[in-house]
Order: sequence, then C-alpha cells, then structure tokens
Amino acid sequence: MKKILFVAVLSLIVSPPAWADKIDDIVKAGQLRCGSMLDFPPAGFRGAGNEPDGYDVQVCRDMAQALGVRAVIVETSSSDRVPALVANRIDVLVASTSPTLERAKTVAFSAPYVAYANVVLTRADSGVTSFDDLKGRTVGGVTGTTTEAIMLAGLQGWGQGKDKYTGYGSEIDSYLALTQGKVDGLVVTNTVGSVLGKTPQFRNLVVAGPTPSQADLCAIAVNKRDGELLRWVNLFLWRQTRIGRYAELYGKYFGLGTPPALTADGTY
Amino acid sequence: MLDYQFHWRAVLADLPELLGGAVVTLQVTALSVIVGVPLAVLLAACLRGGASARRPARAFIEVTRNTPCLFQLYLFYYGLGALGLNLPSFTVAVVAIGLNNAGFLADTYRSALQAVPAQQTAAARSLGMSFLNAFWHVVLPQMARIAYLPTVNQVVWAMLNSSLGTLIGLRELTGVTQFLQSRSFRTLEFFLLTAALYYVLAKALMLAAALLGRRLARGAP
Repeated sequence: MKKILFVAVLSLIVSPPAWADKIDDIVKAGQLRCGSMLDFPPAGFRGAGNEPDGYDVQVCRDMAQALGVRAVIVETSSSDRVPALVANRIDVLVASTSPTLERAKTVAFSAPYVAYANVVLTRADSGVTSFDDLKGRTVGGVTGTTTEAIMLAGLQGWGQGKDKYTGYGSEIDSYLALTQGKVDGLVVTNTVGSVLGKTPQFRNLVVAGPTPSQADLCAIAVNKRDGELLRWVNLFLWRQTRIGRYAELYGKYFGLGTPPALTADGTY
Repeated sequence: MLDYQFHWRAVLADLPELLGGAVVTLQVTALSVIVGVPLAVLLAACLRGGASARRPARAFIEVTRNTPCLFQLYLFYYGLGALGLNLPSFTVAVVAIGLNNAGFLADTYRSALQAVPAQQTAAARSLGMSFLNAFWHVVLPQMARIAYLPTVNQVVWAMLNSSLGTLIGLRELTGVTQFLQSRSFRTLEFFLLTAALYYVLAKALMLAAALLGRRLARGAP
C-alpha cells in the first residue's frame, strides 16, 4: 500500500504538465538553442579562440540571458537554416533572414531586429560608379540570398537574361570572384561593404553607390507552432531597442553611426 | 521529432526549372567523360611505357586521386583566376571533373590493357599492322570490354561530382535547388525532390549503359 502511494505521489511530481509551450521547454532545458550563420560577418563569424561572435550571436546571448538560460549557438549555413528549425535542432533562428511572404508560409517571423541597406560592390578599376553601370556587364551574387534577388531584379529591369550572372556558393567566394575579375559587380549589404575594402586581400574592392531597393529589415524566425515564443521574442526585441541595446550592438558590430530605424515609412 | 507539414504543390510548380538544372548536370557529365576517357587511355598507355612517360602520368594520377574533387574545382576556378585567367564555371567544371575522371580511370585502364594478352599485339603486328593500328583495332576493343563497367561507375560518379560545381557558380541541378529552396524555404521538399532526381538520373545512366553494354558484348569471346 505504502509503495503504491509512493508511486502515485511520485508520478504526480514527475509527470509533465498537461500543456507546456516552447518557452517552458526552453526554461526547463536551461538552454536556448540558437541558429546563426557564422560565415556572414559582422553579423555572424568566429572570433578569437574560434568562439562564435557577431551581431546575430550577441542577440542570441541577450535573449538567453533574458530567459535566464544558457545560449547554445548552432552554426547553420544559409540553406540549413530552415531544416534546423523544423527538425527541432534549434529553438530560434537569428541569422539575418529577410522575412518574405513566401518564406512566412514555412516559418513564423518576428518583428524586424536589424536593417541592412544594399549597395553595389565593385573593383576600383572597373569604372562602375552606380547600379545601372552594371548593365551589360558580368555580375555575381550568392545563391539564395536577398542580395542575389536584387541583382536578378536589376537584370530583369535592364531586359537582360541570366547569362551574364553567376551565383556563388558563399559570400567569400563571391568576393574572390570580384577581386579576380570574374565579375564586375555584386550587391552586398552596406555592413559588409564598409569593412571589406579594409581587409588586405580585398583592398581593390569599393562601394559604388546604393541599389534601387528598400532597406532589408531582417527578422528572427521560430517554428510556426511556437506562437508563445514568437510573442516573447517580439517583446524582447521591442525592449532591446527601447533600452538602447540595439544601438549599442549595432555600433559595436557594424560601426556605421546612427542605427537605422526598424520601421518602414508610413507603417510600423 | 520532425514537426513539419510538407507543401508539395509549390515545389512541383518549380519542377521545370529543376529539370533545366538536370540538363546542365547531364551536359557537364557527358563532356567531362569525353574529356576524361581518352586522357585516361593515354595515361594508361604512359603507365605501361618507359620511366619518362610513366613518372609524369603517375604524378598526375596521385594528385587527382588523392585530393578532393572540390579542391580541384577551386584550384582551377580561383587558382587560375589568381593568375589572371578567368574561365567560365561551366568550362572549369567540365575540365576539372574530366581530369578527375582521367585520374580515377587511368589505373583501371592500365590493368585492362595488361589483361589483353601481348600476343594479340604481336599477332596484329605480324599481319603488317602499324603499332597504332594494332592498338586501335585489336587491343582497344578488347580493353574496352574489360573496362566498360568500371567506366560506367565513373560516369555516375562524375554526375554526382558535378553537384560540386554549384560552389563555383554553376547552375546545375544542385545550384538550381539551392536557389529555389531559398525563395520559399521549402528546403526539405526541394532536397528530397532533388535527391530523387539524382537517383533517377543515375539509374537512367546505368540503364543506358546496360543497353549499350549488350551491343559491346556482342562478338566477345
């Protein structure tokens, strides 16, 4: 009898509550598993001692701290971002992801947490001084990125096919191709453009003006079913901006002066 | 646990674009075999020759067989680029994968050549054939029969290797898949569909090879 009672009481203690949402799971696990791209400096890279660092990584760490748990940074390449999320290898995706309506059918996006402006990157000796100068020239991009979409839209606008376009496998490969003269222009984020020309191997690269595209407001993504977590993430982001942490991190990693507004003109 | 609803409709709508990528994959494969096979025969002949022919051939084979194909692609694309020679992705993929084919097939062909009895050459020569004629009409057909199946394996391998071309900007099947999946984030559907397409391509190549092989086997001893 005693034994049965003991088992009954024990089962009450250890049995999971009837309904636990993702936030409960994270708090219980004591860790927030966060997917970030670590080949996208300064948003994500490996710093001293091979430790993940960057704007995205720091946002993850802030989020974990706010939840009172440990941050576990999981490196996700561009194409591994969504599989990692849907296979439940990560809880949130903080990887400079553009929230398109098409993608939002697959994952749930938060409010914007960082804004990128897109610029033309070219070689100093190419003679390209504006986006439209790229018309008729060989151009490149990174397969599957928003910057690639801008370049392809440009080609379409000029009535050109894709025959002068090459899509590379990674950011670094596209810079190398531009440096070597395989292509005459790329579209990159202003954050990348500002640091690239200062690195010794890419010192012949210069920014040649803006692209005809709106600011790319990037969002954090969670699984579609984790609505509670999404609401929490939105509140977290709202607070990040309010307490000045957004400006602080933007200055630290991107160093481009006043951080861009995380809103769109005429709406929120 | 995979908590995921598959959306196939949008993915299937992009099937024509994927098939366009598959055509590029087959083009690279075919051309890389056309580059690789004759070169492999030449290397095999060199391996059977004197030291001055054998040593460079052996060195080439050692390098191509013992370094990753991806590295070879990079070397041709960015390595030559550093020297100011910028070749298109397609050309580089064909040449690099073709040389890789040659490296892997050379030893197979060498042993196939060895398996053709020396008396065959001697007999052909005694009939007044030149060395090249004897090689072309007598030795090569017999060697081809022996080396046929390993060559088919290498063709399939070349087809799968061509997926690495996406990293140097080639829009073949894998490149198109990467492009399309990033648009909708229907990654799993696209990857599954592309895996299925590669499987079908490989099987189709094997089947075509089996049919062709039957013709080749005709008249075999």
